[in-house]
Amino acid sequence: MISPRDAPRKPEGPSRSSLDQCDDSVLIARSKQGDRQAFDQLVTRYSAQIYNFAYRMTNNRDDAEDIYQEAFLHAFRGIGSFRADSAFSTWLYRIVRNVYLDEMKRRRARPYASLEENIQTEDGSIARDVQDDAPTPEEAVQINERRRAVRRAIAQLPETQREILILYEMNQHSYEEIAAILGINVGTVKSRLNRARRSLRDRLLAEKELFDL
Amino acid sequence: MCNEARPIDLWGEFMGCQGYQRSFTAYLDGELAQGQREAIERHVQRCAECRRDLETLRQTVRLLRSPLLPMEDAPEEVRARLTQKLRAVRQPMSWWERVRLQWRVAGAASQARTWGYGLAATALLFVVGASNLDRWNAPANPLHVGVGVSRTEALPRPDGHVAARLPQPVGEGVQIRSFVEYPVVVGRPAIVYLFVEPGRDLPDGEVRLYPAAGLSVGGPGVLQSDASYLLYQGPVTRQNPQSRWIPVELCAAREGTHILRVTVREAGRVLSEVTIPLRAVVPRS
Repeated sequence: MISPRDAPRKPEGPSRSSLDQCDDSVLIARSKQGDRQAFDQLVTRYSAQIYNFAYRMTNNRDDAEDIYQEAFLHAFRGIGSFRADSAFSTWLYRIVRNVYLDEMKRRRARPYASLEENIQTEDGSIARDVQDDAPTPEEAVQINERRRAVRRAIAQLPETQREILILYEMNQHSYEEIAAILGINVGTVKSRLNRARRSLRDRLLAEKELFDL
Repeated sequence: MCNEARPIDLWGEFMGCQGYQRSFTAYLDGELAQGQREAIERHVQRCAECRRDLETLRQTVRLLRSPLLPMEDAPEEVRARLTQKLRAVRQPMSWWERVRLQWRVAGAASQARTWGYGLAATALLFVVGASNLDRWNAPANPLHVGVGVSRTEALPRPDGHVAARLPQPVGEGVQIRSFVEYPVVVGRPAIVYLFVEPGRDLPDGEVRLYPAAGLSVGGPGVLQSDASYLLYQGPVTRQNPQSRWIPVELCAAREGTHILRVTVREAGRVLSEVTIPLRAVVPRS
């Protein structure tokens, strides 16, 4: 017997094969009926945004992965309550932000140092994400040091400043989108972004080699 | 501190270097008018402190947007674990499940009398997801739509767009009990849910759709009207939600009534065939 998943996709199962062309509202409607494939498609669409947000907020892959998964599970369970009065991404960000805040409450005792993600090897500890395009070992060390310095500085920012930098600079959302996600007005977004950039700059200035002055 | 004598009106009453510096974020984001940008550029040429302030901010922003901190996506194995977990998650009872429950509670006794021992399968068509359903005053709450289904004899007919069909035998062991029809909007994809309830288990079942000409499956631009679509293949049972509640994305190319033909087969043999009219309308402006 052929299972539905094994069945040929064209012309069979056209509604599934065209999922990637559906707009969010269609996928949401289907997800509300328990269609996991439709929800998978939503996950695919917003995976990078949500993961990057979680990763940059926590500065730790394990934590980010937990938060990422928890956020999407929450979203799936609660999608019936999603109303189209906001963008789906806004709703998702609110969820991942809440999951993050809850998680951090539980882990409040954990120092930032433990959030640095190193891998223990026989030769000691190395950072996991040295994956630049074939740099020389010396360049790799330099790049990694710069990256770690920036990540450390971001991790030391207050959460409100960190999240706005991630949303604006990395995830590239507009002032208006950020205002909707954070539930603040656009003017507050601008002033908070200004403070966050200055605060980060002041921390980074301790690492003179990061700047070309 | 720089003592710029003549401030510019970037931040209202914030004058002098403080006023300029508060505008640097907007400057870097390209949010300022040309005159304001030029005023800042003139100012930083004269003021070393503001020049340094702006330059270090610019480089900070550049660092944040550099490949040093790339956009990260979840690793494949994390996605795979999430997919597994999603399979195991049970959503809170969805509206159609509530509908079904109500229908069973309200109609179980009379249904049993009417259709004997349940040797019936129900093909129930819903059109949901068509945007702007409220233009026709259709109930916004899908639960309400479903409640209508539970009252076959007295369906609400909001604005005349809900039609009830009496039970009609359509094949061996299969009946259309009722369906609710909402119009779809021409040119806009809509999700149609096909509800198949077999009177007995079909271990090697199959549900197939033959859309009419002018009705594409899979969204606009994918017109394959001559093809049949295998919507489901596998056990068709009351316990198998995949076989009971099958979503199809349809898009009507033109106004009018389109006929969907649905067959339920077992081991390749057609047990029943139903035709379901689907109305497509052009939205009123």
